[in-house]
Amino acid sequence: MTAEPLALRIDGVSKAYPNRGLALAPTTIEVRRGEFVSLVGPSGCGKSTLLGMAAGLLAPDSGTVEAMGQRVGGPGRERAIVFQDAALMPWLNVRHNVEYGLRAQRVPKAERRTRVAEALEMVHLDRVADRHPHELSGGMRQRVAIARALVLRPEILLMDEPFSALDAQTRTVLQDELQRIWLETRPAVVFVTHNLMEAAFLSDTVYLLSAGPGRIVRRYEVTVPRPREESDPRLVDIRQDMLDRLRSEVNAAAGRGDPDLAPADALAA
Amino acid sequence: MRGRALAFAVALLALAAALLAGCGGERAADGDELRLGYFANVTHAVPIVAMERGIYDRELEGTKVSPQLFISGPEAVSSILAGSIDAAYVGPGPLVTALSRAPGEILVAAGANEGGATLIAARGSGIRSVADLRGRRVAIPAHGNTQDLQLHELLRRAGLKPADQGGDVTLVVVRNPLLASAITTGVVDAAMAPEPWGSVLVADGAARVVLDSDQVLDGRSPTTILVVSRALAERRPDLVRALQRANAEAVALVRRDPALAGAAFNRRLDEVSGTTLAPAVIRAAVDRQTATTRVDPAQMQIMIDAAGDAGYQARDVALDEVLPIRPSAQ
Amino acid sequence: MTTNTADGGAPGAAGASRAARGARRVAMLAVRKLWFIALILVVWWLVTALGLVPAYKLPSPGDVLGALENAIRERELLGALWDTLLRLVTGWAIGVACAVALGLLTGAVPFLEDGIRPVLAGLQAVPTIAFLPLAILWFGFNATAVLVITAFGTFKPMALATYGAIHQVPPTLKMAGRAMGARGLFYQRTLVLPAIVPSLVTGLKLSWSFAWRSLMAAEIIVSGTTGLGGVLELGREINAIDIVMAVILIILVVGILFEQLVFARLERWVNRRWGLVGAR
Ligand SMILES: Nc1ncnc2c1ncn2[C@@H]1O[C@H](COP(=O)(O)OP(=O)(O)OP(=O)(O)O)[C@@H](O)[C@H]1O
Ligand SMILES: [Mg+2]
Repeated sequence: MTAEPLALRIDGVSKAYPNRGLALAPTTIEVRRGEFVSLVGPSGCGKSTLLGMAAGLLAPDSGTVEAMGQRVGGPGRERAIVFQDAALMPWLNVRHNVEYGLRAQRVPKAERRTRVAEALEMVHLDRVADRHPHELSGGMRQRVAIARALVLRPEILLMDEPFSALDAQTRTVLQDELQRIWLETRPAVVFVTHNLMEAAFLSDTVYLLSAGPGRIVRRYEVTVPRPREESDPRLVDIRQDMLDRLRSEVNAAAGRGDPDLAPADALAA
Repeated sequence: MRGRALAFAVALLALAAALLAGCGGERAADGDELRLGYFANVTHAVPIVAMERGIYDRELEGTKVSPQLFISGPEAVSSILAGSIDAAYVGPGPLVTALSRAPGEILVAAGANEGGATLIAARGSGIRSVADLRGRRVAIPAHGNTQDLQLHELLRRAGLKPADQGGDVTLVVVRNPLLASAITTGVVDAAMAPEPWGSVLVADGAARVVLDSDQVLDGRSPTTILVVSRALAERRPDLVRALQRANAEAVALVRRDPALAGAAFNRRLDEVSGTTLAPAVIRAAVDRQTATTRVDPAQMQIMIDAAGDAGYQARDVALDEVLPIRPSAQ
Repeated sequence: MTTNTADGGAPGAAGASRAARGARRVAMLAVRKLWFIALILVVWWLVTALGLVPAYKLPSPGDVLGALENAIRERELLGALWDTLLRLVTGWAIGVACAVALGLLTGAVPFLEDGIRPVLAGLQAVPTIAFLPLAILWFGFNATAVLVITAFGTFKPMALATYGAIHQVPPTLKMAGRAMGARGLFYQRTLVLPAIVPSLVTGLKLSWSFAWRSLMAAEIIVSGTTGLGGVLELGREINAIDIVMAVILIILVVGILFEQLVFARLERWVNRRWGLVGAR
């Protein structure tokens, strides 16, 4: 046992879909409490699959997942997830969308109200609380999705490409906000992204996965102190190294004739 | 653009109207075929016997008679109006209501059958007379059919009125096949039943006879009448006369030997539905009716008046519209 | 209005021109929605007035109106219409409620749905009225049997529509709900049910027309129950095509009113609430 206890322990987990072969080779990842971990890797390498298993929405074929020391067999209160498409409930307004998880977990009404207000304030949405999702911009919708996760006060926050549908400016703003929120609340984060700069900028640790079936090919520790600047030369170096690695990964996979791969340039975002 | 679309729509509708106007034009039998409607009812024993014996084909030499089976009067008279059949055996009710709307389009050739209706009541209903029907529910086979009109007249004579005319006897339409269950489950307390249904229910023990067929308007109310289309009467009066002769011949045959009618009916029923009635039931049913070429004017007036009182007529039909045309009419 | 007076211009003139514009818009809308009906009426009237078709085959619009008025006065047509509508709405509501409940309960368990769905799909081919004899045996020759048939006629298409709708719920929405801890009845009630509402609206309209058909067919046979079906059948029985057409006219008008007043509004509300802009 290390001094720092683990938030999430993914141990030899693998997954195959029917008629699709292996989507994720046995993978082991440990996430310390309060640690920000990113997963990067070619499209189709199994990142979402891995996250789904950590969330308890998918059952692994082999291996185990432990969250806060407990074996994962389904969704749990200590974990929350944010998807690429915000997956909001269109019939509920922002406030009620954020409140939904608290209702599901039978949090008393008075407490729900203060926690929702708090979460909305954290993502600067208090002014649009009564709007419906279709009345929001893409960035606002993603903020709602983040607030909806934060309101549950998770110890582990799972995020699957939360910013990839956003334009570059909105994305930068939200990255800053996520960093701030994370510094304030310190959950452990597992963050999936295709954007290497984003991964370097936000993370303590970045895992780089091979083309599908995914396995970890490299682990980066980013020790640059926070708050960080994107232009920090140390971050730029790390990003460059990741990019080179990924290029060779993708090219190797292309040589194997893997059809599920994006062209290498797509990684250079 | 819009103007053209509108013109197109108008043209389309005009076409539809023209088709409607053109369709069902009066196609009378042109010498080679005569389409004759009838029902597989015991009251239609005359046409059934005539077909079985080939009487029509013999009398209408050279003209083939194609029988067409109907299950109710309104469809049969509608088919005459549409020109899809040339002649039919129907009850006085549909004849009167159809004539009130299409004057002169249908002509009466001859009578075929009288009686054949009984007023029955559910066992234990305590109904022993027409007067006892007050406040009760009585089944009729259809609005405006013979039994319905007969019941209207019986009620009038007993000083009663149907509920929909402000009286207190509720008339309920119950299709013949459902009559047994309607009587036994108490949906209705009594029924004005055409044969053989009355005899069937009495034989089953589900119902008792309140008025036997000879007490229903003296058993002389016409139940089956041979009618022809105006087109046939105008273009081929010879065929109408041949039909009248064939009808008279079959009526005479059935009068001489009523058992013949029962047997012929059972054979036809077997063909149509694969079932037959018990000999005792069929005998009782045949006994409750009389084959005759007569169409009793007084009885027809009763039918017309009853249809008028019930609000079934669009205009008052005159008596001579529903009496047989003279055989010699040219 | 208040702003008009405030700007010191000619408030009366501005108001009048706006009213005129409003009136013109209403008139345009009326023309757009009514031109086809008007055209049919004119052609119908012409065909009958010119004597192209005998009245016993096609009564004139006036005859049909007369029959309508007569039926209202002498045959309590309005009462029959009311009874029918009441029965229709009740039977339809029961059918819809049962279908959605069954869809939600069994749609969540593939084993149940796999067993039930083919049966429902097969039953679609059986006209609901074929079950009337059975309904009469079980519930009697009465309004209950008619109501049951109406509900059943509603139920079949609605249950299939519910299954279809459940399968259209986006997977990430379902995953998001489950990840937040929604389970069991709470999950069905607060996530699946509202999520399927937009696709259910189509099912509601479809099953409404099925309800009408089953109800009319049943009322025609179970004639002890007062209703439009009985009046329709009466028209047939006494060869009164004008009564038949009057009843058809009523059903048509009720259909149009329901479409415009209920379903169109429902659809608009759902489209707004669920953010389905551009759906129309
Ligand atoms: N439900 C499923 N059924 C069958 N195959 C699936 C399913 N979900 C994913 N896969 C396959 O499993 C592999 C891994 O998919 P996954 O979504 O985990 O990849 P990813 O790394 O998240 O990709 P991306 O970066 O494009 O989101 C892919 O080949 C994908 O086609
Ligand atoms: Mg993914």
